[in-house]
Amino acid sequence: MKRKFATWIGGSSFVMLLCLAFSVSLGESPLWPWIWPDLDRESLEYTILTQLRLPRSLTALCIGGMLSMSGSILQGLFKNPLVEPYTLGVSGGASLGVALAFLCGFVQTKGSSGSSLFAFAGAMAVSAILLFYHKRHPGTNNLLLAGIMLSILCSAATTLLLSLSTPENMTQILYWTMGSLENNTPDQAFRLLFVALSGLILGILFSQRVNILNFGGGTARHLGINTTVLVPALLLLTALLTALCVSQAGIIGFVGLVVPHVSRRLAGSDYRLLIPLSFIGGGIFLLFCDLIAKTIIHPGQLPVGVVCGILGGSLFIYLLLKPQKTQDA
Amino acid sequence: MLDVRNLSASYPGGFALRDISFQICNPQMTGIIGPNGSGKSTLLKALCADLDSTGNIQLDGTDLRKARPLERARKVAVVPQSIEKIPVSVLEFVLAGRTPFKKWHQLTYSEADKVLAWEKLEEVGLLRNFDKKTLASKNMDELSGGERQLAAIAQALCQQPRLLLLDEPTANLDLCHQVEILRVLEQSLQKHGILMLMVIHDINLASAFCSRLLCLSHGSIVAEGETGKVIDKKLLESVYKTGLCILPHPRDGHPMVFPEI
Repeated sequence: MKRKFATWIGGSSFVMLLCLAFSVSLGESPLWPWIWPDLDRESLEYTILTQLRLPRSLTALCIGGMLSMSGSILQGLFKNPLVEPYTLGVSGGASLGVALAFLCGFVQTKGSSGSSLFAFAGAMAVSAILLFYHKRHPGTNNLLLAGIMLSILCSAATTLLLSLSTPENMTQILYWTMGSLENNTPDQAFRLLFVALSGLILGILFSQRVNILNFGGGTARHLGINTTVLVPALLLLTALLTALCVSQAGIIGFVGLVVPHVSRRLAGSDYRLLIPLSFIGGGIFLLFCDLIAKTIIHPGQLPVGVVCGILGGSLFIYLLLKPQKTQDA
Repeated sequence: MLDVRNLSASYPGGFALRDISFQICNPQMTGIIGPNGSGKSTLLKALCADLDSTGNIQLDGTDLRKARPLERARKVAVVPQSIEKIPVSVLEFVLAGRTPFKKWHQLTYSEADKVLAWEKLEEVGLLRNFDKKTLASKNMDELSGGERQLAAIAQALCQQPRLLLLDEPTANLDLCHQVEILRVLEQSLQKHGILMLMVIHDINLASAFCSRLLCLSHGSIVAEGETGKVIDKKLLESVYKTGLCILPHPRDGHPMVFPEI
């Protein structure tokens, strides 16, 4: 186990650092790592590197990691390989929050901190409803159904608000839903990194409990796991991380679904390895998608959520067509 | 000693258990028999707090109804009717029996836990079917139903419980695996002095392996005592609502029950 853990985590961390270096280096004009030490602090290149590219790459790494780790925890919790962080309506709640903010005139541009705040509030409101529902109606199947229904409700309400919006607001809301990693300052990116690493540590600490939960709720209780505390705690952790991701970068789909699947196929179903590996894998995946988004139609850029959807969806179809050795989740 | 007093439990549809009282004093295999819907599995659920109940359940002075899950799991182990096919190694599955004794943030098991897990795998006979190296790399979803059940018993024994609750551990298994599992349980009982309470549908297996029986009907105990006394033609006919014929086993004379066809 220790050797397998060291090999996978060591190897994937190395790949992640390579991707990070590539992501920071590439853009409108390449700035390779070997010229970084020689850059003048007053130069434009230094500013581009530290104020634009590094925050954007760190944001991609953290958001990919948090979404993917949340996906792997939720798939273990629900014992369902189709669950991802957005299944429970968190993204729907965030979209509704942003649409409301634009419609009521609290926010004018999509990159403002107001839209992040409303997205976070919307996402957490949906999570709070789900947690309240779970307290009254325990059982993960009930919870999953409630989450899907809330997601549909939020989506319908957002569409309603879109139809009532001005064309300018409609464009801003639609662009927000496509996801973007721009507009983060270095301070915001480092704060996000701190939260992501804290979430990762908590995820690892919970990993053995998720392993036991995967045996079934009844068995977990008989083994001394207090599921009435653990299940809401895991839901709260994943909801907070997902809400933060959505508020910072809009809706970036498929990371939380595809990366845990790939990680599980590669390294097995032990969540002590799967959770950190999903985090690193998610970071690599989003860095790669962002690299494509910002370079493929140079000098223009694609919304990263769109690239993620296309790449993630294609990878998922490939996985479905490929014969499977063990069962999922 | 397990002392159950005035235990009642209900589902939203109505009462499932009414005023159940019994005691298990010595390490022995106690079978719970009764027709479908009589409350056998519900009694087990109430005992392991999977179902809210009223009354008193004392195990060696500990109130199991009020005990925290961790405290309960250190004294009571449960073997369910069937084990899901999960992509987890057999060793990890059995080691999970040590969970109640680990700190919440501890990610790995100690060497002593691993030694214990291998001991239990040997005790239930899984090391007869596979060598140690093969079993270490085998996943639970690669085992047969009977082997998964044996792994679940090994996990429960790894908890080193005072009380072992088994919900039809031989259901859906062939005759060979039924007898194998009950023999393993019998040997573990003798070796570790555990109190065992087992829901069992097959009265003949119950008669062969259980020293005491509880017979349930409509959520109440209708008979309790030594196996030979509970397996009574009149009593069982009234409980199962069918004609029965009871004959002594040709080898050791324990009562065998056959339906009148």
